[in-house]
Amino acid sequence: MLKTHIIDSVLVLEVTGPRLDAAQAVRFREEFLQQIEGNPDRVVIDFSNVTFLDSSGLGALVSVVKRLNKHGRPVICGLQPAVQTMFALTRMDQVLTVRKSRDDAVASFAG
Amino acid sequence: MPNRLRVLCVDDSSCMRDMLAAGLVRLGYEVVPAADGQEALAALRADPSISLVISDWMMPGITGVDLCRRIRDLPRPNHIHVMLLTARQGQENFLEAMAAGADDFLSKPVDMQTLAARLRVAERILTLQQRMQRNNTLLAQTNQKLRTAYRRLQEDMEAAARVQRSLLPKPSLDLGVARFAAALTPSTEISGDVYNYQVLPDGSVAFYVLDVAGHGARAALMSVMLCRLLTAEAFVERDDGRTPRQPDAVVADLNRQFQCDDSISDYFTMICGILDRDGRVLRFCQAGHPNPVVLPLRGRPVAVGNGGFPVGLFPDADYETVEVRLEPGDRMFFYSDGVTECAAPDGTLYSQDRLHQVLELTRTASLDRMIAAIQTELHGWHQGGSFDDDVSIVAFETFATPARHHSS
Repeated sequence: MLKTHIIDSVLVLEVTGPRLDAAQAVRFREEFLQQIEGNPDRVVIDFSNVTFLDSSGLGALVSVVKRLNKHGRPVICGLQPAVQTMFALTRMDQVLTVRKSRDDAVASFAG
Repeated sequence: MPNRLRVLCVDDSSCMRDMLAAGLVRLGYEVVPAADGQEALAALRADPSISLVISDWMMPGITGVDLCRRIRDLPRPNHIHVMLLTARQGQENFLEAMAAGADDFLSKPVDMQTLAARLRVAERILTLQQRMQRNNTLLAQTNQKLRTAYRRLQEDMEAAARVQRSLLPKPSLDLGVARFAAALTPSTEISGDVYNYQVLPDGSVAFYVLDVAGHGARAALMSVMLCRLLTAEAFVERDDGRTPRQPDAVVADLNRQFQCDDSISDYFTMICGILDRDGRVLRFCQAGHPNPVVLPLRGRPVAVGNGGFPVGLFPDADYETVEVRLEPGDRMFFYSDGVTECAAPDGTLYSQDRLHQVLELTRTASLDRMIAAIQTELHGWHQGGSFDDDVSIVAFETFATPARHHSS
């Protein structure tokens, strides 16, 4: 449910999707925490493949972001319309750093 | 031999029987002798622990093959391994014997080494069968335990559901300034959605709709706890016990009390609102719950609200109160995401647009009927089975001439 890439020394975690809901939330969180065991400070969470996010999925996402916030500021990218709507409704776009594309997200760590 | 197996030894010739018995005893078996088929069957009936039979084929009265058949007819749960002894020059019909249930054949005179080897095979088969039977028994017992546990769980769930339902307000209530109506369809017996509406001391109406993330028992327990907390007192100023509070202050209080730890995100979305004592101004605070809909007496449905942080995710979250001015006869609808995210068999979500359409189509019906219509729509959309998520709807319609609750 996660694909990892290292781009310009940024850890990119690509959620394979297409749904991040109650059925997936627990596994998503476990897999995610495994990937960030080394406490990386530059992390991009790529949501391009996720077309549906429900409240359980959002809860899982927030819990891993909180963990990442201890060592850096993760950037989320590739929000699809339904996910974007969810982010706006719950104001996640105000507390999470969101970029349009993976390139933008990775570039935001440069310099 | 690990445990001494009892072997029923059947032969009409006492000489042959004694020879075989002596050999079996030397190999470590315990022998039960029988002189004919009748005696053999009686011995088997008397001693259910016998699982190995060595019988002569040619015997007066009941032959070895007949004995096989009768052994197979015995009401025994475990398999009895039957070996038939054949004469060297015999013209025995092996197919018939196998059909009768014989497991193995030994030719006479019996070679003790061959017998020992065949017996080891027989024991192996019997051991496997015993193990299988033990496992089957264990499985049956486990299944029984599971069934009992499941039934108990089911009963607990039903009891919990009754408690939950008892916490909900009447599905349709005249609250002076407005008629309120609501419906809840849990995805399982119990629900993470909950709502309430009640008149405050000054005649205004406080209400909330709330959806705990996830569903099932965990979410339901939390929703029950929240329901107990959100009494009328939570909506009025503590100093005078009657002035309605700002809805954002009520939500901010909850957010301070319910910060989930980092490991799990138990949080909820809600809208809490206060409809003033004239039924003309609604103040509400939206905390991650879907945008409510205003359906004016004349005009199209319109979503209101600017979103807001869910409760329990961020300790420093700011909440705001939104004000909506209403005319007599205007209606408002509040719903959980179980409505808009209700999936058709092909995965298409019901969506806000479809909800607005059905509101527009049914607007001349009574408030209760409109809610019923939305539910019917959703069931039709989902096509069979229970919903994937709890579905709750609360609505109100302001009265033209509010019957005020004057209180001194």
